[in-house]
Parts: sequence; C-alpha cells; structure tokens
Amino acid sequence: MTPSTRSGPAPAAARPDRPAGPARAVSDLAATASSEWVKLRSVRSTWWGAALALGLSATVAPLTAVATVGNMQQDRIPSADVPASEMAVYAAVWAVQFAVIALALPVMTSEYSSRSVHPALQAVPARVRLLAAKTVALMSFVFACGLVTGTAGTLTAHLVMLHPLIEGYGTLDPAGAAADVVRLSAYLALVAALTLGAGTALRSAAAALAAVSALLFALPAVLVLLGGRTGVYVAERLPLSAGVSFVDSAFVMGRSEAALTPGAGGMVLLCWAAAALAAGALVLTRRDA
Amino acid sequence: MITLQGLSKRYGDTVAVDSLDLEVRPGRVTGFLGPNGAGKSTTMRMILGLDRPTSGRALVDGRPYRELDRPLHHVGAVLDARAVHPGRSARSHLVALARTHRIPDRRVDEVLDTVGLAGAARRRAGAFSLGMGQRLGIAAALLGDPRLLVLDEPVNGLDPDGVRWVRDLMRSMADEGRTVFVSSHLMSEMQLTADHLVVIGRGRLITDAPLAEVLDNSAWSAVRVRAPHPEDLVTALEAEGAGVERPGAGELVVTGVPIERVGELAHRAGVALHELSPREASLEQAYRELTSDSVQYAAPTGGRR
Repeated sequence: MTPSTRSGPAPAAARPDRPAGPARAVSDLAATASSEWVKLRSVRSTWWGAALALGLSATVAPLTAVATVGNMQQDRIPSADVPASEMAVYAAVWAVQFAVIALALPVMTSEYSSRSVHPALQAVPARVRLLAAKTVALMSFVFACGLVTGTAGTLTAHLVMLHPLIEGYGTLDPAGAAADVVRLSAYLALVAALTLGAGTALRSAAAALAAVSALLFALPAVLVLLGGRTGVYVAERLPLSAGVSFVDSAFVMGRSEAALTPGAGGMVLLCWAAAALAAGALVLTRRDA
Repeated sequence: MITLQGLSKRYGDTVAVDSLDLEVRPGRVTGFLGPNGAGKSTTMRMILGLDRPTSGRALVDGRPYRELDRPLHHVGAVLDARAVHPGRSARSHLVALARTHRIPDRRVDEVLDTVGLAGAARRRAGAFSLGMGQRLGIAAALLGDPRLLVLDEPVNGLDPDGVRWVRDLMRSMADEGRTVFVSSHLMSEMQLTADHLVVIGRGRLITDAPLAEVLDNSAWSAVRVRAPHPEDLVTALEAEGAGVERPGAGELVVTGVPIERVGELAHRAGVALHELSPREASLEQAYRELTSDSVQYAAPTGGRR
C-alpha cells in the first residue's frame, strides 16, 4: 500500500469546464445511463426478476392456451381463433408484470436503503438526470425482457396448441404476433417506469409496492365494485385498464364497452408513468438525500 | 477550496448548523471537530449538495456543488463507509461511479490497488468488514483524482496499518496542494494529522485556528518546576501575575508565563532548580476546554454504569 494517488505528475489544477448546452446534457445523460446499466446488471435481483419473467411467460401462456381452448371445446365460451401471441399478452398482464414490478422496485429504493444514494448523487448532483438515466436503463432492459419473454410465451403457447387434443384453434400470424409482442413489451416497460417513479417518490420499497399495487389492482376493483358510470369511467382510465386497452387483446379481460381505444389507452398509460416519474423527480430534487 | 458563507440548517425548531463562516484552504489538512450532534455531518452533507442549506451557501471551488461540471474531479468524499448496495461487487460499484464521468475502467483497477482491495474487487460489498468498507469509500473518493478530499471519520474501523495509511494519504494529498477536510472523534489521531483545526459546537463555530495555536492557548499548557526551596520563586511568579499551583512539596505547576521567563525569575531569585520542563497540552485536553459548554449528549460524570 502506498499513499500515492496519482497516475501522473498532475498538480492539483482545475480542469476547464465544458461549455453548457444540449450537447453536454446529452453526453452526460448517456454516460449516466451507462452507469445505471452497470448498476442494474450487477445485482442479482435484476436477473432473478428477468428469470422469473421468462419462466412465468413460458408457463402461463401455454396454460392459458390450454384453458381457453378447453373452454371453447366445451362451449363455455364461443369458439374463435386463439392467436398464440395473445396468450403471451395474457401472461404478460396477469403474471409477468409482477416480476417486472419486483425488478423495478429496488432500482431507486435500494439506493436509499443501502445509502448508496449518497455516492450516486455526489457523482450526479443533477438529480433529474439521475432519474432520467435510471428510467432509460430500466425501460430499455424491461422492453428487451418483454421481447424475449413475449416471444417465448408465444412459441410455447403455439407448440402446446399443436397437440392433437386441442388442435385446430391456435393461430400464429408472424406480423400480428410481432405487433403483440412489441405492445406487451411497451406495456411492461411503462409499468416499470411507473414503479420506478413511485419508488423515487416514496423512497421505501414497501410503501412503493403498496402504492403501485393499489393503483394497478385494488383501485380499479373497488371502482368497478361500486359500479356507476363514473366509477367505470375512471376505472377505464387507470393504468391497468388503459394498458389492457393498449395491448388490444380480447382474451386479457374481456371487452368492455367503456374501454378506451388502443391508442388512447397507450397515451393514458404513458401519462400515468410520466406522472409517477414527475412526482419522483419533484421529491428527489426538493428533499434532502 | 471550500467556502461556507452564513451556512445554516434548521430542522423544524432545531438548529443543526448556525450561520457558519469558514474557508477550508488547500495545501493543508483541516481537522473538523465537535461533539456528537454539533452539526459536522450536516455541514459536510451541505458541502456535497446532498442537503440544501436553510440559508447561506456552501461553495466548492467557488460554486455550489450542484453546479460543478464533473464533480468527482473536484471533490472526493467519504461520508459513510457502508453506503454501497450489499449485493454489488466493489468493482461494479466503482465502475458505475466511474461511468458517470467517463472515467476508464483502468482507473477503477488502479484505485482498488491503491486502497489494497484488488484481491476483494469481485466480492459482494455486503460481506465487507467496516475497514474494507472504508477502503472502498476512499477508493471511490480517489476515482476522479480530485483536488479536494472530504472525509467523515475515515479511520473508523480501520486496523493500525489502515489508520497509518489514511494518515499518510491525507498528508500526501495536502502536500500536493490539495484541500483535505476531515472530521474525527479521535483527538490523538487529529493531533498527528491535522495542520489546522475547525471546532464547532451546537452548530456554531468555536475555533478556526492552526493546531499549534490551539494547543498553546490551552490552559493545560504549563511549566513544571521542582525546587527544594521554591518560596522566593513563587513570590516572584505571583508578582508577574502567573498562576501557581503546588501539587506537592517542592513542586510547582506554573501557567500564564513562558518557560524562559520562569528560568530567568528563578535565576534572579537565586532559587536552585531540580527540574524545569514544559507540560504540553494534548489536543484532547484543549478540545475539552473548547467544547465544554456545547456538549449536548454528555454522560453524567461519576454516575452509575
């Protein structure tokens, strides 16, 4: 061990500042996103979440296919084509997204629980940039996970529907399947962003999980239970229903007359994610770290 | 250089830091002392832009921390040795910090080597001892080859080798013209390391002075005299206004007069001396005198255990 700290004979001279402006902002965001990707890939929870997402998609999608075709065979629901990719969409909404929430939750909350937020903010004192970089890294990763898990779910659902006992219902149209997989990936990425925003605003994993669960699942159930046109109107505009409208599959929840169009649903979900991130950014910049 | 201008922090009714004015200059080690709850950590957090001052400013190289371009090249800081995700390896932790400034991975391996963690680079930081955590924190602080080092209790948990290493590191950084600002509870350590002392109590500045001056001004600094028949010397000393204590027969402890003057007076009074020696205050004693009025969380003296 030597106390020497330098690689060269650099006296303690100031480095010239780079000129401020969009070029520097973009360069800094790219560097910070790269840092956040290192953080994301260097903890086990990320890979456990991704593995869980893949496992859930590859099991829930074919099981849903079996159940759906079985119901059609016994005339419990009207017979129709069963696109394999829509089974993957079903799996994404009712199973994979829980793995995504578990993966996205610690991205910010673990920084607070381990206090690594201090070194993080010392390196990136521009706090909005830190959150933006986390958002970029997380959404990119979750989107990629969505593509992989969606494809795996589609293929396993397709394979299982080739079985002689349930054959004749399943379809696999490459263009339609690709669109479904992209949509479910976008849905999962937006849910991840929503979770990140809640985690940043609330700082604690438990509080953020409660808030996200309430917003996604409890609140729509309560509103629909209360009934009334207002309740249904609002419920259709909460993140889950908006997202279901966006992924545009009749198998996920059944068609509601009050449902938004896919485009409107996507916009509403996007607004929810943006609002959560904005709340997170507000808390992050206002409160002491 | 760190500049504090009327820096204050209030939490509700509690004043943690009370209009601090201070300059921490380059080229020396400035020790930052104060009792628990005096506001040391809060001050450091405001310097690093983690906490926002209620009023006043904390400037690093003339600017608030949040406005620094590539701050890791300005300031390296260790506030909390355990501030690492327990599941992340030491190297990944440093690589993530380095990427924000486009510092190459080569530099990460270099600082790991410098702090003696090269062998543990790929181990999960959660398994690190407190001392290893300190070393990792210091590695992070050195990443950007900063001009300023801010350390909160850096030797906490280090073994004697590590303590010595941190001391040498701070010394060499200061000698290179960098600014070193370090808090510690260990007075003996500070007495060895610091050139300059800043003492705060209850959020207020008590002392901002060179170490030597703080020690000289301590009431504990005195002159010890042994003489078989000191009476004439006592009279002469008291005529000069010196404080004289007589802890034993033939023994004097003299305060308020330099040692040279005591010798002259003894000579003039014709008193034979068996001993004339300086009694130097330790920083511990000087510090106790300075902060005796501002200790918030004192244990009852002589109380039960």
